[in-house]
Amino acid sequence: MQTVSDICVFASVQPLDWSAAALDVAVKVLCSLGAIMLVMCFAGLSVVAERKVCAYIQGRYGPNRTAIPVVAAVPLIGNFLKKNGLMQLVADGLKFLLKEDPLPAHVGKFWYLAAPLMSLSPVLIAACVIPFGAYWSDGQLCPLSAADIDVSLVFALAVSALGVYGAIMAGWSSNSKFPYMGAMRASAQVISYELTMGLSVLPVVMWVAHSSESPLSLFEIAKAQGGLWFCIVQPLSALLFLVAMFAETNRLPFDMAESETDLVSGYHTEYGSFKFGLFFVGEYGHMVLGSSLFIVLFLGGWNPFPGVVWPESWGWAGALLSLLTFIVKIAAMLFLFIWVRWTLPRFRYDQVMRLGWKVLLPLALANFAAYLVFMSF
Amino acid sequence: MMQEIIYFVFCGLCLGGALGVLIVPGYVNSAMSMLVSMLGVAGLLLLMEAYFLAFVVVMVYAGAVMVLFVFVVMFVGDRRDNTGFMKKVALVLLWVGLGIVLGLFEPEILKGGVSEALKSGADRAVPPAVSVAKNYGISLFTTFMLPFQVAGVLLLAAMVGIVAVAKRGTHKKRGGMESA
Repeated sequence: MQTVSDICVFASVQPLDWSAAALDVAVKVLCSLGAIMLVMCFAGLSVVAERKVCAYIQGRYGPNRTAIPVVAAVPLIGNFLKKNGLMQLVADGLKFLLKEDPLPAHVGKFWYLAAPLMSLSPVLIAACVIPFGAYWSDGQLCPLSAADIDVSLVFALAVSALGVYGAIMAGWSSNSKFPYMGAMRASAQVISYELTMGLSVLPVVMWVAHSSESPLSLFEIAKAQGGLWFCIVQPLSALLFLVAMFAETNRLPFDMAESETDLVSGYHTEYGSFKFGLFFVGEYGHMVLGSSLFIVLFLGGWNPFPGVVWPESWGWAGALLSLLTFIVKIAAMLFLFIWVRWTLPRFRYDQVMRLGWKVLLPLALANFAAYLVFMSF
Repeated sequence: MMQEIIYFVFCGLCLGGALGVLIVPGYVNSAMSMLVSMLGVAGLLLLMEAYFLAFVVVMVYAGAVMVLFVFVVMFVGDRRDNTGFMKKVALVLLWVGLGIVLGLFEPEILKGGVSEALKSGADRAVPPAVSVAKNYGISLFTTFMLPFQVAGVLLLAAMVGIVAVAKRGTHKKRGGMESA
């Protein structure tokens, strides 16, 4: 076998320094854990935010009574946590963990157990290429991301597209009517909107290709937005990407895969306890990932305002501020997700399909062609 | 050492998935085995530092084409044929035989590409040609212009054909209604 011998040769030429290699691996693992922690924290907090914001929109208080006995008695913090529903978060998490974990007799066991993992893990993998900030090192801007590869945009889109298998396999293995319909809807919807998503990103890549050698890198795209952000330069692309993102993350008004009114609870009807919890976290994780992508592509990444960048001379403070800027932007995007969910009613299924194929796709194609013509002058 | 282990893991995914397509009962299970096989192929491409190609394989084949496969299988209904023992043996033999043929074949173009990618990967200064996304675009629009366009025309023809076939059904129904 030609290939094997080649790889053996390749491995033996590489100088092996085990301590350096171990340190390298440890740093990489820590970076990945950091990215995962960021996504998971936001996923958890957005569950509380969802309840609080929807309560605010509907003129209610939302969760404000759950209290952990000792913590709630701490003078200032206790009351703050209680009133803002942050202890509800702990209660929800514990509920998922401690409830009985049912395994219905009629399910296909292997895929039934694998599906929740398949819906959560792509989100966490894709989070590793998002540049959450930037720092200056030897006069060069470097990304604060776990992995900086030169085609990270393609990586993020490809891996996050695998998340739909969670919904499909959950619906299929549940052996029951409503989950099955939810899974069918999820697969059709994701295929339809992925085209729009890909086409709406292309003008941005073409724009960046003027100034950068690797325009498919998320870091390069964010770096190119030191001046005007791409949501100002290319508003139509941004709008198309945003709509496609709502559809890809299965959020209302594109909540077809689990629309409670006609499908009970869609593809995860047969799930309970922690397996449902994984789907739940997966959905919010997808929102966080989608928001991060949108921020990097159109909202200037870690830059605070259009035309303003954190100056090089600030050193580590600038790096910290860039990370904070990104976090504030993610929070704002999540608020937008929740706001839209509690404002717009759900589309009908045929409306979703018509919007995807007859409105968004032609618009995205026209937009792409228009920028193609515009760029060539 | 590490590269070798990873290489064999991806090879295992690739070949195991391919075997799974042949012998696993149920159409959806077969489709999922194919997904595993494709992820293995993407991993092998990653080892050759053809990052762009690897992610495009994941995005197009795993993320869209296989979703469509599973959708169609679910739409027409999954079936669990009870394949006989002899048939399974024959399929495994086919898998082994194809593997032997491909192993002996060793296409020239593949051999050169792999060894070149690995050799230039040893010194980090120059990235290998396959790992720069731009090179794909340039070669698609220069060297491989004709095959690229022919493939596009073929796909267009297939699409037009499908639309024609699907349209004829509705025409007949409408005609029947009118005559009734």
